[in-house]
Amino acid sequence: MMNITDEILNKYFDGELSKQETAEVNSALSTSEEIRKRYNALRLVHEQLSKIEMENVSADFTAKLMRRLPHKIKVPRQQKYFFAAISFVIIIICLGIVGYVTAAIVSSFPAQTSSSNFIDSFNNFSSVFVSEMERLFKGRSLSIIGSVFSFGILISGYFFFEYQKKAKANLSR
Amino acid sequence: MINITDQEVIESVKKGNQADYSIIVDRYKNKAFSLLRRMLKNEFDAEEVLQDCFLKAYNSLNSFKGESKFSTWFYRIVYNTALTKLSSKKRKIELEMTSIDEHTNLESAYDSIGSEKDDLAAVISKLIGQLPEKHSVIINMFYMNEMTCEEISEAMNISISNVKVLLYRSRNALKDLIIKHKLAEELI
Repeated sequence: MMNITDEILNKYFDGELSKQETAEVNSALSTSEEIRKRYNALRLVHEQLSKIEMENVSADFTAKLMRRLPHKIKVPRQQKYFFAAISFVIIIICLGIVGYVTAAIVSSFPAQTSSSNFIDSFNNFSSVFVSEMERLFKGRSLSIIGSVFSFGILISGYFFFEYQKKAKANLSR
Repeated sequence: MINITDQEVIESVKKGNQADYSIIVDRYKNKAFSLLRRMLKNEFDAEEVLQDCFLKAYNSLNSFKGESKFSTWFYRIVYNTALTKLSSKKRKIELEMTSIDEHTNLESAYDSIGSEKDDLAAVISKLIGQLPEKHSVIINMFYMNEMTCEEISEAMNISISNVKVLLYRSRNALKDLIIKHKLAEELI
């Protein structure tokens, strides 16, 4: 026979007991006046607690609050700085690559380009461009660029994780 | 108006319809106020903190992704802001200590109730105010705000089993008092 503690009665009350346990409590309630008394007192507490009324705020609460709201929902500052920093790093890396390739192309042009025709200039430009890009994304250079990007992604990931943590903590404050 | 869900209202507010936020405010102001009144035991502080909570929630709407119910998320803000207010009033020590013996607190509170002892509802309402903060918050959330133990656990950042233990303890303490003082004996 199960010992009908207050905890068991509470669980019975909230419907959290198994079928067998519920049957045991039912049987105890029909045979023991002491258990019935405890259960009825608990039921009474539950009924009274359910009846307690809410308290009301002052009538102009909503109006006062609405006047205090800022015009726009704030985007957290940290979030703005974070995305600005990431965009800045990516732009710098892209500018570096474009600048490097452009400089290489310009320096490889022959001095008297005015005498050659347009098609020659274009061919010359494209072949230099392709060779420079090949040089840049091949072998050691590729691993350097890859490393820089991976490093950037790792750093971004870390800051993104920290930002999420702080946002959560801010809500808990 | 009643059929609009919290999530729909929030989406509307996020799109720039600031006035819609008043729907949320009207929906939760009294429930949250009752909770704060019990925690802070002061009407003025409760209303001031409630304003801060709604402002904080408004400013953080962009970080509310709808993973939990808005009410749970909002009550979490309310509970934590009230705790901050309590700690700023140097009442945190009291808060930590009060779970030691709720029966003693209830007994002395019961003794201090004068002519209202015949009205069980009034007695219980007064006694809840004498329960330790965590207990009375849980009673408030469970009965007045109709939150489940899971939602309370999320809002208060404690385990579900802890919520149940505190809920049972509060009910038991009140039950023991009813039996001891033979209140509403005809109903038992």
